Amino acid sequence: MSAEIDKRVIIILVNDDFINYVLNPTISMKEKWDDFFRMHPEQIPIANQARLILLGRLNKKTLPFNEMIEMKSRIFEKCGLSPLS
Amino acid sequence: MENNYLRKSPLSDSDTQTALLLSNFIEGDVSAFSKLYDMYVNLLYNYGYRLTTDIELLKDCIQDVFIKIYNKRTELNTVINFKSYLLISLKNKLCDESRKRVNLSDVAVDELDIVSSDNIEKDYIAYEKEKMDNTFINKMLDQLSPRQRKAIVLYYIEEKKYEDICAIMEMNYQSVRNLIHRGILKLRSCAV
Repeated sequence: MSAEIDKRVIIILVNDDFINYVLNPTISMKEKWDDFFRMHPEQIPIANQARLILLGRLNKKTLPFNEMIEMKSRIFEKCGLSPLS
Repeated sequence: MENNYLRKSPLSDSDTQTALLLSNFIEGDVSAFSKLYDMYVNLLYNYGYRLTTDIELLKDCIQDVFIKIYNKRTELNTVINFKSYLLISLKNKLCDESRKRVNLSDVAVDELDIVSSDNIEKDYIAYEKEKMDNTFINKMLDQLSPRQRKAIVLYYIEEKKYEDICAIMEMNYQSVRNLIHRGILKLRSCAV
């Protein structure tokens, strides 16, 4: 749960740039974050933890299957779609 | 670490599949929408789970994100990375809802409100300052008895009402007031 996560991980985790950097890095983002990590090397393990969370590789949490199905049904209903589409 | 980020391989099978599904979805293929949901609902759940303690709120927000992408599917052509788009949409939705509800974790509420793409360094400075402040507060609180400390934390930091503290600490109203009063006197004497 969020209360167990280091606040520094959450700070990075909600940063749009960081999300894009992890999931869709560009040269300019690399330069920006390289600079940041050079100035704050102590943040590298924090950022690594956030990265693993974003990639779903750290203690991944999943919705129970029945809840996944129920949510999809509600979404389809609200979108006016046939439930079994 | 940065090398890990930039080890940009050719599109993975998953990326290729997403691009194809997204294209079909934009053209109106509902089964593609269904498959995108199956592929990414747990990406969102896993991410949102770290930001809020309110699972019902999280589920509502995930649902709203998928409804939004369905309703705005024709605009998805401009999306560069679908995963980023989903995660940022969920984060923003949680942020909006947090203004209406008060159930996000304290940390997430603070961060969702203040973090923007350019202020990461400022955030760390603020964090370090807050950490120092917290160290001072903790040192002060260490001067109290365990029960005084608990009552003071509940009242002043967690902002609980007296009635709630009575229930939590299994004490009557007057005893709680006395406990807090004595704790404050002790803190004042320590701070001088």
